[in-house]
Amino acid sequence: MKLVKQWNSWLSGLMQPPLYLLVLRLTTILLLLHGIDHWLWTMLPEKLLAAAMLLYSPLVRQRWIWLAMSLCLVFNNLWHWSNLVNHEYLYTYWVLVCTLAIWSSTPKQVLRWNARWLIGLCFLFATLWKFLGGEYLDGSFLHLTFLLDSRLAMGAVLFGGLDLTTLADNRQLFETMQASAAVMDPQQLATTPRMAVVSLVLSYWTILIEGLVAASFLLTVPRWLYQKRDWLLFIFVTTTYAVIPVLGFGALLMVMGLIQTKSSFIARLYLGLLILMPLWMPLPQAIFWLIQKIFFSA
Amino acid sequence: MILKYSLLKFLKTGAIPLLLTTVALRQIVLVHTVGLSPWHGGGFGMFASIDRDERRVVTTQLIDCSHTHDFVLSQILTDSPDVLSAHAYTHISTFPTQSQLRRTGRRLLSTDAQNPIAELHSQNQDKNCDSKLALQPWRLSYDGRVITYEPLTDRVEVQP
Repeated sequence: MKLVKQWNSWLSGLMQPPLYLLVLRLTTILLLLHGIDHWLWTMLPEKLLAAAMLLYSPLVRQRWIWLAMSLCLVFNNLWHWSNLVNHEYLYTYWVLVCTLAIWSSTPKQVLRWNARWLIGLCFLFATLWKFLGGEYLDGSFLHLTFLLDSRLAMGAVLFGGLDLTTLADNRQLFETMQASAAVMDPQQLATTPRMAVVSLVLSYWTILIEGLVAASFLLTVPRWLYQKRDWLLFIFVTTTYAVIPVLGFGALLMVMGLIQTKSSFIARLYLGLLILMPLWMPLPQAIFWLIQKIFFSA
Repeated sequence: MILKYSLLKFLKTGAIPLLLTTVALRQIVLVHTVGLSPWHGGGFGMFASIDRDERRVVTTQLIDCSHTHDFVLSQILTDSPDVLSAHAYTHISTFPTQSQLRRTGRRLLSTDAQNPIAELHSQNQDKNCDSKLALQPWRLSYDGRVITYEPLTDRVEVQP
């Protein structure tokens, strides 16, 4: 209990006004760290700017630095547009928002308004895509992802009753098919009826939670849904990223969530989840692989 | 004054959400017209479609006077990295427009590019046989049991 109190008071200390400065600093940390797993030399200027802002904190308040950062991210976005994934676009939008905020006389309001809209819109398009593709409605997308994506091996074993050898065989089958460009030879993957059912259920769960996050952030009516928006986002982040850890996206959602809420308790939750993300996000996977290693490696 | 105020208000509240929406709508159009991978392009289509660019295949066939020779493009790029960079191949797989495929085909047929396709094409020319290269992008598909490939767009035939 004492530990929780100390944790809360430490978080409250971090959130001393002006809150927007904390958000700008957190954004700078994310900018420094994001994308280092797929390094491109065109990212160097933005990393140098982010490092400078962290090492010399008054720079975070400098308007021209944020403008330069925006230009770097927009340039990278235009140059690599077809290679970048969703959250890399979201980083660019968010840095543009930070730039507008720092140039405005009401930075907190600018950040708050845009954070809510950006979260709502990205979940709206994510939900829309689940319907457009059609592979979510019949569960086939998640079914195949469980069978081929090693990041979802934990889910395939725990929910689908598959074993790691079968999953490795499936991946090998697909990799051979792709490497030989054998487009005219269909291949049968090993699966279980349970995996198909679980995939379908999880597909509809994903559509439901993403749709609810979108509606609650974009609409102010019904009021009860709007007021529960932060909890819906927490449910999405914890249930999704514990299975598929996407640190960059999760962290940015927490930073945007932090500034758009008016409740200091919920803001502390956002900040706490963000700070502990490197621990809780990979934890379920780590436990799973440890159990596999200890009990099933023989 | 009113115009300046409205513009400032739009910049602070509407510009970035509008930018996100415009880019996302553009991505949806490109996916459904020219075969852009739903995973890329800023439309938030990740984890919504099997059609991920890493799982795509671009088939290459050299058609000469009497035979059709199949080549595995990814293998050629591994063996002869000078022909096409990994970045360029990823771009072609992700966004396989007709013009991108034509450009790649011409590069593969070019005599200054050392690769098996260019060599065979050169041999055919020596025999007075004009060969052409056909490229076609394919996407992965799954019906709950079997994985198969489906053509993304019509095949493109290229001559130097």
